[in-house]
Amino acid sequence: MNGETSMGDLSLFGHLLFYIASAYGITALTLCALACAIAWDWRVLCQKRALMQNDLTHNEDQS
Amino acid sequence: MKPIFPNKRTRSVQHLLALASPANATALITRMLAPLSALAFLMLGAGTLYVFAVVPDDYVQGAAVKIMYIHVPCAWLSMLAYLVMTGNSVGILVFRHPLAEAAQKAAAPLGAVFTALCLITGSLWGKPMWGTYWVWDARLTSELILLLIYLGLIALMQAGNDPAKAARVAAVMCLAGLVNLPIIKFSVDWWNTLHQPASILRLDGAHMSLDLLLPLLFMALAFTLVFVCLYGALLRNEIVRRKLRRLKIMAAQERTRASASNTTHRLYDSVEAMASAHIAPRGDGA
Repeated sequence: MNGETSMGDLSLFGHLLFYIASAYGITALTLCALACAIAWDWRVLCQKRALMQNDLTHNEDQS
Repeated sequence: MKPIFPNKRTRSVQHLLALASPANATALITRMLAPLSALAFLMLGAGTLYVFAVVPDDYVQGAAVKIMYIHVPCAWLSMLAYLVMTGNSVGILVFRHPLAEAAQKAAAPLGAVFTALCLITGSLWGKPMWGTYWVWDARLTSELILLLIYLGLIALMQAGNDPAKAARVAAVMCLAGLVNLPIIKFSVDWWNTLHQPASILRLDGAHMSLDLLLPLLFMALAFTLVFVCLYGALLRNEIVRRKLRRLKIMAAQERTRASASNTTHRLYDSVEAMASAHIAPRGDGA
């Protein structure tokens, strides 16, 4: 080999690259999707909380 | 509030429990979430760059060793999430603390996600190294059982109309499932497995070169920060969801009270009208 990179090494690296990219890609996508879902849930909850507090204040004012 | 602990020494525990109120937790999470998330993102980016640019390949595994830098932190966090749930289960069953219920419910999906990621990244490492995505090895099977336990606990916590009762049942199940953690950890020592034995958390020290170990510990720290941020955000959502549920019940009670009061007023008015109609002709006639 004399320290040179052969075609076999390159093809092995390309073969491994698929698994490495898949592992990192799936992890990154999953964590991003989870973070987005949590942020969306928080947004919906904040809207619901504001509506509910408005309703309660309105009811108290009426009574 | 009546103290749970009668003597002075244990009263400090009571004080600590009072500090861990849902309102205090929400305020703390809101203050810390943005800086911690930024730090986690930076550490994760820097760690990944370092792993691909600087860290050498393993002489046996080659470049596939790079999968280890996400697989091992995910495996550690899958077990850490279960330990967090166990602590919360004690909080639910012994102290009946309201924050423990929300904290337990928030940890379960996160634990399930990290366990699934551990299994997926492990399979993607296994295919080029072992020649197969999956074997019914003791370590892999016990990790799969952990995922099933998480899914069972999530289903249990969603069941029924009473969240407090569901949390108590889930807490008991969680404590029973704790037996799986030592099985996962020591499965590679107790049985003859294809999965390699522990190389970091060993009594005789880590069996790993520092060139590979230090980036791994850095990535584990970055993933732990990600875990803390996601857990904090999930916990805050759960606390607000419970508060909304209470507000909804209060609003329904208020409406019922108002409608009952309106009915009484209407009844009183109609009785008055009937009485005056009954009296008036007699008055006119007289």
